[in-house]
Amino acid sequence: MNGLSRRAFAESLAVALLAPMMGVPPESVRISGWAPPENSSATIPGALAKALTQAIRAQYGTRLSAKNLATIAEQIQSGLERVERLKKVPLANGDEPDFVFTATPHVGPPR
Amino acid sequence: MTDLSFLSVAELSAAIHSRQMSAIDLTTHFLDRLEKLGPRFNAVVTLLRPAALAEANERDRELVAGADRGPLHGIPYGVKDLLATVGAPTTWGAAPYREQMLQGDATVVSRLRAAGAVLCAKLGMVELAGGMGYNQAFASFTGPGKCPWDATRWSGGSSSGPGSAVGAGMVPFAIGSETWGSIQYPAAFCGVTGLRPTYGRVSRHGAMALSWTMDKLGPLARTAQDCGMVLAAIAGPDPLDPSAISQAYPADSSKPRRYRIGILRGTREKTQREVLRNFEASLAVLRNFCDVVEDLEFPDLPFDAAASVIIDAEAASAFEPLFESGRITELTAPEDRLGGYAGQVVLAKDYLRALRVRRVAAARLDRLLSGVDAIAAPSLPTVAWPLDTPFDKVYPTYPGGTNISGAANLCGVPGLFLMNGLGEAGLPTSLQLTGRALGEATLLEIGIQYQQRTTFHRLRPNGL
Repeated sequence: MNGLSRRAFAESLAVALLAPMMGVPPESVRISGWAPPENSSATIPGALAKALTQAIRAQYGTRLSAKNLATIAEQIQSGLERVERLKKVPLANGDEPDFVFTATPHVGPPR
Repeated sequence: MTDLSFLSVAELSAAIHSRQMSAIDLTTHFLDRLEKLGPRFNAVVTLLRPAALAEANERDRELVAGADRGPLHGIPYGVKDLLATVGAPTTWGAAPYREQMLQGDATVVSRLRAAGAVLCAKLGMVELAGGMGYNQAFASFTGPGKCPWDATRWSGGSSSGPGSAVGAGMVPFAIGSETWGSIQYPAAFCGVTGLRPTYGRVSRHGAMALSWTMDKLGPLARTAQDCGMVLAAIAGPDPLDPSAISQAYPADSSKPRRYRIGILRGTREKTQREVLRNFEASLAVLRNFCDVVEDLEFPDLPFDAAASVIIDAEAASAFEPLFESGRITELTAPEDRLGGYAGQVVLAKDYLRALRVRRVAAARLDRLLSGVDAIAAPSLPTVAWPLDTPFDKVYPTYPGGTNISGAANLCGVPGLFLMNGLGEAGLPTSLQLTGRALGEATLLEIGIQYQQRTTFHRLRPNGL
């Protein structure tokens, strides 16, 4: 399949079905070993995706080809588009994350 | 007692407690099955024969001495190879970890040992529980998990070994994990019963972390009753896992009554004909003891997007050493070698937004679930996929209808998966029931009553 990854495919069908198979999100399916996407405007990296890809290149660039980085840029773009969907959910200042630190005595081996 | 391989935990337990069968006989039987059939389905990573036989002997001695650890006393089982076990490698299904020796047992393993169960094998899984975004069955260093009903089909993932080992009668039950679909898929494809407990119901201590706030451990077995027996042994608070909830199981101990089942609008769309036929037949069975309410509206919220952002960010942190060392390149599936990089640059504010959205989403989902005892749907819109086809190409015309899986996993609510017939090519189809947080006992009671009225959980693959 083209880089129209499972994620993009699933999204295009407005279903999450294809994703879970992975034990992971339908949407989180990322493809690299397969051919890059064709005519998929959804994965054309924007400026932020390109900048974040440069951060990846700075850290791991010695082992990543230009083609690899192009694939990663598309995946970053997909992630940013998911974040845009999250931004449509109104949140107030007091809407806290559901993963809240609690101070408790340490249990387990010394750290 | 003729063939032990496909008896339920409850039946085997009765045989042990009535002294018709010893733990050592039972354990030997299933070790032999694991040894013989494991390679055929790529189900076994490490067989634990000496340790299992020693444990079984001890369980027999205890029974003779009048020390009964309960219904799981002497029952053999296996675990997905992401649970730490003393004396055996814990590979996480991934080549870079194939020699990994962890200290101590996972809490689930120690609780099952305390309950008298006998650990026989570490079972196959998709590398890193699928966290790098695999797109094919060939994504484990032990080979693709194969379906017991047809070895040219995938067993499902990422709990592939637990699915195929239970489905092929290699163990009476197994422990799998689900972050997003990883009990659901193997249970459905392999024709077994699977339970995804509420997030926090079962301690994650000693389990590989893919996503700290979404990982769940749960049983795959022959029946809903068996899943309940196993859950009762492994559930409960654990000081080693702060997310383990304190409520005792079963908190909602369900008394027989008439249940209320909801169906989401759009559930039946884009689903294989045989899957739909079996779903309608399941609803007809459920109507004997449930009221079925159609056309419920699924909340319009970005459940799947929030789940993806959370998993991406948490997996990037959990596996950062794999990226730093460069050993990510040793993973089996080519797409897994690149799939995690994007998660490395998820912005902190975006991760936190996803966590904040989750709280809103969980409240909306709970409002929906509070009006029913369970939401019913086909577990999956198709039967098991061919092994050799990339996931994004398989059954493209059957993506399924309204899908609650992402929402359920994001919000940590439980799910039960029950074989409900045979579909295309004689492969299993499955019914899923999704319940309110902490509602496992209700789901299991519905499942038990369903299985009392049907025989699909008694079907076994040809030749096994």
